[in-house]
Amino acid sequence: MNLSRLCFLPVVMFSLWVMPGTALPADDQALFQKGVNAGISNQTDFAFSYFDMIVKNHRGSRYYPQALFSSGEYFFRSRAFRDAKHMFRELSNDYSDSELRPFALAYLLRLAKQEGKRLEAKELEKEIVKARQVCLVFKDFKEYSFTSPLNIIYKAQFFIDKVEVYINGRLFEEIPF
Amino acid sequence: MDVFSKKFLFKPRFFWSAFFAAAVLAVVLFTVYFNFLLNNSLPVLEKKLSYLCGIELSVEKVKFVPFNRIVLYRVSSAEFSAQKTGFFAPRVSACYSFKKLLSEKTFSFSSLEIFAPELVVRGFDREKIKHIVRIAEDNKSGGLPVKIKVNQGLVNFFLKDGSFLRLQIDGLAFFDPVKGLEARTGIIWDKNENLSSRFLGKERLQCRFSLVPGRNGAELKNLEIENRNVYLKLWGDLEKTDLKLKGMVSSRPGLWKMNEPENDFLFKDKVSDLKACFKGKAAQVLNGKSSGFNIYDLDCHFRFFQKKTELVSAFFSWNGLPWRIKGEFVPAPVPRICFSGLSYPDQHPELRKSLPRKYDLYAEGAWEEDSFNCSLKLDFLRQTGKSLLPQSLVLDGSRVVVSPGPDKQIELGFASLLMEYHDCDCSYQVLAENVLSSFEPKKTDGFDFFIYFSVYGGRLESSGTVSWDPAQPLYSADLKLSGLAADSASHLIPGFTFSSGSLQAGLKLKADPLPQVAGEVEIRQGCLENMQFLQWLSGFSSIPSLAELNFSRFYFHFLANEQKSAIDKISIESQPLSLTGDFDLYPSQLVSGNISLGFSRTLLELSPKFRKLCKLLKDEDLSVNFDFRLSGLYEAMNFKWLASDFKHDLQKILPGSMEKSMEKKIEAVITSISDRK
Repeated sequence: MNLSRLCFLPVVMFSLWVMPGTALPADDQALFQKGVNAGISNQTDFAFSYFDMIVKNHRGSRYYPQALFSSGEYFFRSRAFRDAKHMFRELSNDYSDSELRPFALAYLLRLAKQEGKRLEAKELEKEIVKARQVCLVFKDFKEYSFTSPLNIIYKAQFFIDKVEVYINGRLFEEIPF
Repeated sequence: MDVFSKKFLFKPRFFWSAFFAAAVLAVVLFTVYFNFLLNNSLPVLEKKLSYLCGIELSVEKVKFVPFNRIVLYRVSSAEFSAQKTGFFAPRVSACYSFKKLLSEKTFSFSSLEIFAPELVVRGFDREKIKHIVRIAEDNKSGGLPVKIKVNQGLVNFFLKDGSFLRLQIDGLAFFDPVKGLEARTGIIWDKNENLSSRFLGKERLQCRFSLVPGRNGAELKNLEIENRNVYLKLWGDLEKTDLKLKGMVSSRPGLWKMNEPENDFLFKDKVSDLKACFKGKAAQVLNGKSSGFNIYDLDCHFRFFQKKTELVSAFFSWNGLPWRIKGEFVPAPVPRICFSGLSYPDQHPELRKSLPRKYDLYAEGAWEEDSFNCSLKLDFLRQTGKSLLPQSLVLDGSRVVVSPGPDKQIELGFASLLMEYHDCDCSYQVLAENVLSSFEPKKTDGFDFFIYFSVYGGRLESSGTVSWDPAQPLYSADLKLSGLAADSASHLIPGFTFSSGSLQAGLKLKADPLPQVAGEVEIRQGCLENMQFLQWLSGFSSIPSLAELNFSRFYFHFLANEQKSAIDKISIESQPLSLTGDFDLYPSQLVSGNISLGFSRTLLELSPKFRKLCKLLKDEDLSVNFDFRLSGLYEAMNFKWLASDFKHDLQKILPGSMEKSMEKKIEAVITSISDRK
């Protein structure tokens, strides 16, 4: 009895060791979908665990920027600001063309203001202003909106002299220039 | 009587009186006889003196003064005048060694004192100087006096170029084989025709020096030169071919009074500083201390070769900034001078790159075919925020002329001067021709200047002032440009390209409190092309003539400092359109501006897109104004068409879908022409 149990032990150990890191390339989509579904169901902790797996194991995935952003959102909401900053910083630095970048910058701006880093905040404000070029012929502003995998609605309104960033319809940051 | 006489005669008192009287009589007789002999042999004496001095001399009278002194009166060269080289001294007193005369039976002078001599030198006659040196060498052991004392002398040098230098010794000057050459309270007076007086001031230059010849060279014990603008003190020694000097130079000579004891000066200075502090002038005192051209630790080494003179090294600190200079002067076949200098010479090259006051300087000049050509290269760093950007300034001048001006100025001229300025990502080049400039030293530290030259078919005039403050040189200048070819000069105006036009501009530069340049630019009868906004307008409106805009007047006012670059009062007067506005560019590369465009109705009707819009206009409307607001990044600006009656009318008749499609099309065009990466 004891011997038979001992025979299974290496198999269990091997499975435990291999499983977390053996997600196949095709799995990133499934993980992301699971995360989105969990986000829609308001199960943010579960959603984060899926996105975190993508961040840790699928660096080259097409879902990587969104997973990174959602991980940052989760950390920000959990008041783990240092981790949140790390996520948003990576997104803004490595994915300059991403539609998520202005919102990642808005989060970083809020964090810099909280930390009292005025120079860094100024630089981030400039980065947000530079993020989009607008041409307003008849409209007063140009709007960019996005719903994150955690089911949070983002909106950025680019006026000729200011940028307003909204999260779930509430003004998050206003950057005059 | 006889008895009385005999007694009296043998008394000691009488004997000594008689002896003294006889001695006096003998001396008087000898003096009279010797004076008679001397005056009789005056022509021989004159010949001997003429031979010794290398010029023909005449002596009016000679007198022997017991016991070892001969005095010559009114010694002068034949026909002494200011027109030719000559010498005049009202009195020359020569002492000979009485001891040598008695013991060795040799006649040799021991000292010579010349009272109030006046020497006129017109050009330097090399043969005459050689002759005097040869005589001095021949008579080293005998005939010539070993101590020479000049009492209140005057030497006038007339140089070949007509300039004039006067050397006046107010006190005594000594030459002694043991003590060396020493001039006390000597004064040089430089007449205003001379060039050096422009640098050093018009009035007299006080000088004191002490030089002792040695076996292999000489020791300069002390050399002090002072006038109202400068104080220089040097000491050191010359050994074979190496001259090593240490010293200081200060543009605040009041602090370094030559005749005042040092401790006295320090005490006085401290008391006045303390007084000023109590009066709330501490800041002024501190500022005053750091101002001016002051070098307190000069340490230089020259080496003389047969064919060149080399400045092996010169170390000094200019108000806290350490420098090292090296260089050489080659007199033949083509006289050439070059030197290189660098700040922070002892720092590691890698560390120097991060020092904001890092300077590398190289300059050279050569006399070629009767003209002096020179070039200068200065590499330095410009601080922008936290980063240091390498900059380079190159000046290349040909046919340089330096001459004294009519008043106190120094005039500097170039046939041509090529000025290049290299920033890290752009460079500017300007060729100035027929450059005339003058520099006038100020009472305080620094100088005023005036510059005039031809450039790009027009001319530039500038006047200003520079103060010597090594920590941050203060300057202010006014520049006036007129008649410049706008096409040639357009690379100096970023953002605009002109293919023709005549440019006028007035600029003001100042460094206090912050470096700033402001001014106005006007171009008349020109053509503007390749302007981003006009290109877009031309493409959007399908009016090709807008891409190259002929205008009658283009004007703008600008201001640039560390905080922003602003262009305001922009105005383009052109037949098809008018443009007015203002534009600010910040160091963050963000912009803010307003532009108002006025199109004539006839121009709008040329465009198939605007033809329909023209129907919206009332009959009396001859033009349409479009007001735009600009913002965002300089390379990718945001545009907004501001509200107007025309826009309102247009919005009323356009369906929503068309508005969106127009907006998208315009955005596509703007994005395509922007430099966004």
